Amino acid sequence: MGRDPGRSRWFVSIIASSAVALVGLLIGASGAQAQAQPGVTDNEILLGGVYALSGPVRFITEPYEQGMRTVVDEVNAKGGIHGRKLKWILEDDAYQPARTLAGAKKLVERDQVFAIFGQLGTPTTLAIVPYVEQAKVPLFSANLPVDPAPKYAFGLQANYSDLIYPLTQFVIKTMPSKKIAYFYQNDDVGETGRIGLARALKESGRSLVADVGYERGTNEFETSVLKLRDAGADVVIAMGTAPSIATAMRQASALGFHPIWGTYAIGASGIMKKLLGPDIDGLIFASEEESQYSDSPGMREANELIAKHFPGASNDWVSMIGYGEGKILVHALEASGRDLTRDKLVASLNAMSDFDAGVLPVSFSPTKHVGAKSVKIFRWQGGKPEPQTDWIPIGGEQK
Amino acid sequence: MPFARPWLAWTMALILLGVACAIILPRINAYFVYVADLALIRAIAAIGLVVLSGVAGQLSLCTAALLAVGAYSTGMLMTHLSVGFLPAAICGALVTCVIGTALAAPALRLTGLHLPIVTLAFGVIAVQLIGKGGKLTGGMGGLFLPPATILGWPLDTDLRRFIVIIGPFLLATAASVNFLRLKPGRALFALRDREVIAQALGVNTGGYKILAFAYSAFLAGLAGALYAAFKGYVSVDDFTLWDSIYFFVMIAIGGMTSVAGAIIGAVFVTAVPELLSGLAEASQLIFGALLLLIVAFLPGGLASIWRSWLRPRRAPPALDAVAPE
Amino acid sequence: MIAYLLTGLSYGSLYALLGLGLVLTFRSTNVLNFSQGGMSMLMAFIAFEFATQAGLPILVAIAASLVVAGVLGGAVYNILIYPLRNRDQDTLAFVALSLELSIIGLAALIWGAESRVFPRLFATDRIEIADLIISTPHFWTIVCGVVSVCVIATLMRWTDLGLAMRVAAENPEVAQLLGVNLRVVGTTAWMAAACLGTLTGVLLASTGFLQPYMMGLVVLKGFAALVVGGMHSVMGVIAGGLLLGILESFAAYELNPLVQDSVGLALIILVLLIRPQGLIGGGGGWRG
Repeated sequence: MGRDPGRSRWFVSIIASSAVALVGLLIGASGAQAQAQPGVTDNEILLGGVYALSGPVRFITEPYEQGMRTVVDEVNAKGGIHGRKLKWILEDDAYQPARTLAGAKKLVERDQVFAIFGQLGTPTTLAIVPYVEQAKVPLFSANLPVDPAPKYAFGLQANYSDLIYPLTQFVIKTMPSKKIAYFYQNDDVGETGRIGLARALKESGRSLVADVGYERGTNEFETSVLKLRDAGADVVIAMGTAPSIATAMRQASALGFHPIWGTYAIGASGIMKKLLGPDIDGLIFASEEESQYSDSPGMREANELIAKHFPGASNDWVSMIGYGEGKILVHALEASGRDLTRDKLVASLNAMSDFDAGVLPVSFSPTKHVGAKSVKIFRWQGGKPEPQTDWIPIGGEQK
Repeated sequence: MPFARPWLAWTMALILLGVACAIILPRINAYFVYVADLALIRAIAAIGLVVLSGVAGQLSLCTAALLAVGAYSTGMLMTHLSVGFLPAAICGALVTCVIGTALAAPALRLTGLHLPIVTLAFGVIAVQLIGKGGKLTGGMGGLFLPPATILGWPLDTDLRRFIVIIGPFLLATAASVNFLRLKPGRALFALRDREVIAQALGVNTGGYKILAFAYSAFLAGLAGALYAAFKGYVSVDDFTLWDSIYFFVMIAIGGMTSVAGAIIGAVFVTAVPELLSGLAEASQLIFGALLLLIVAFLPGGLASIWRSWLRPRRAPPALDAVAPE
Repeated sequence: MIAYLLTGLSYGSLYALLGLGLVLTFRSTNVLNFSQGGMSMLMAFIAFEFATQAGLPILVAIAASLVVAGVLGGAVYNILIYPLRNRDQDTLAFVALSLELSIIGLAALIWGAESRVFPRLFATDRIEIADLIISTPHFWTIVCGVVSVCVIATLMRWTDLGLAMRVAAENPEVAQLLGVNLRVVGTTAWMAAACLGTLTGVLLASTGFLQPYMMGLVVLKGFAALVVGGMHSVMGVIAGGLLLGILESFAAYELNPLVQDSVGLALIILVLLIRPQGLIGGGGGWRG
């Protein structure tokens, strides 16, 4: 069987037509797109959010969205900012970093938003940070695990390590004889929490009796719980999603194993309360926000407004984050004046060195783009989280 | 290969592509180009999967994991050893090729559904290992890559990235179409349904299986390498089990043995969720329903639409054509 | 050690229950039913709705959803599978996969992604036998698994319908010549599979919480159980499921819970490499 005579024709035609295609591409690409001040018109500021609108993580992003939407609607009801109303459009990323980047590009290039307002998730935020820096578009995400601080990207939530560090210190200080174990979701949440945990343990010369992980999305915690029990853990510091930790807690108590559970800000989550009911008592957590049950004027207003715009919504810590983000953005937009540009917004944000976002105190600077500035430890008692400490500055020692 | 004069068809397609680009590109934006890039990258891997699972019948559910291997190898070389993009990408593809070839070993022994289960397990384990890589792989937080350049030309606009991606894409397409027309490719058709007969005729089925795995793994690795450089960031969340299943979906709706089908399928699976993204929660339901409709009403997959424009499909080649001379 | 073996048995029973549904549909209609997971989850939600919206006592709610399951299972077979029965196995498996995606999408659309507490099925939290503690839902999962196996195995072996199913799978043409109505056999199988799915979904929701994505990897593990069991064998899929569950628990406890999924699968691979025909022989895979 000889060589196929068409083969050489094949290659020649492939190469020739590829050349034609490339030339066409380059011709087409030479037409540039002019850009005015994007997203700002006489009576409107266009903002875009890209995060999970579908998929398993939606139960976290929905309250997040409600918090932000409440602030946006309230501001618009009062006439907007310097005569401009806020228009907030959303793109779905289904918690896939590839799609987060697609959504961000869609918002910036096609829809010409002024800023990206609303993103939640570590790999998803990281996926678009290089892009927003390059495109010089302000980004406000719920979390920003980037060090050193980028120029255009901002975040609100404390890094998990900054929450677990004071939590672990609290446990060591108030329960010195109790054995500590770590129960973690095998992703960035668990990994980052461990940094804070390890630091606190090292400083006090303590170590873990058990270090047990689980895969995100699994429902099978029983063997993990068994390991924790058999190691004799008295305190379990848990990092993961609210349903996962609640399931583990439930399975533990079904086996008659009742350690003290400690976690990060999700401990305040209404989901935890709904899933555990009265069994939530005794849970301790570290949060950068006030408890939604607190009586401070800022929190009362937040609760009222969210209930007004989303009756029946469970007042969740994530909605607090969204609400706080909204308040911060609105304040920064106002401070930037009527002559609004992206750089001015960034400058206004950087200047907020001490701001009360209603539900939590925040601070920003050119080198600090993560808003959260202090942490409080809470314990659920009688169906409400009670503060156990005062505000602990992030990175500082506990008094 | 079903087309009577494939080179003509491809040539016309590519010229059309060039003309279309000249007209359309000035009117579109980086978002569109980004989605096109993503579709083309996935198409490269999907073409490999067509060769392996469609034509040769070796069902593999670890495509996304192989992409991860390619992406992370390239990423680690670029980030930790400051290797340039081109050499890093080639190394990434080769590393993936080696690992994919190793997968051929169980394939030689296993029949039926056992092989997909093995590839499934491999995929899960591989991605988990990557996630545990700490500073080396960026762990679960992901790895940032330095900006990619080719011989000093920085790939910093979506358009440049598109140009760089389209080269390997065209090569992969041309190579695969060609490969399936020649003797080694035609032998792969026999592996799917008539393996025993082929063996009886003296065909080295084991060798061809290894070839199929190596070839498709190389393409998957190449796709992964391109993906890493083009995004500038890799994380294990882009390479889940569901992503592997979606690669399978691409070739299934495209028409299992068709290279054109793989491309169409990749475009479909990439573009449709983006188009549906405005529908948020309903998007998965609609996507599933679309898949059902396609598979119910288009037995040959989406490629059958494409094919019906050209000559009708020839039957797979006669077996004596693949026996050794 | 006993503790985690019990856990392993419980999860293994879950896989076995799922696998039972799979083996029924595979044997009778030659379809790899990837939608068994979604169906199980959907049925659990329907039971949940019966219990909360209609206020039915939970056991009545589950009975009601068993009826719904039968109807839905039969409908899926007659609308989606039977018309396409002459297509090849890959196509049918793909249909099932698309259906799975659609069902999960539908559930997410209707109920949202939040987790819900499934109504309490049992009075006690745990059962203590001698020194052993096992949580009640897990205990009943094992019981249901055992009971279902016995019922299904008996039906398959000793009834006409069971015989008809076995013939229909192996040789549809001969079956039809023998007067077996393939459509009836198929419908029955899919109805039964849907009912088994209801049990699976309800039990899983009881051990954790109810949400559209809760089945997750369990379907694939059911498939692993099916494959290890030898594709066609009821006893095989049970053995496979239990084995997988126990191996997973062993790996999770003795090594690390993180490797639970992968080690379980890896050990299954080992079994397959040592004994390619599966634990209980018969059939190496797609159509022999």
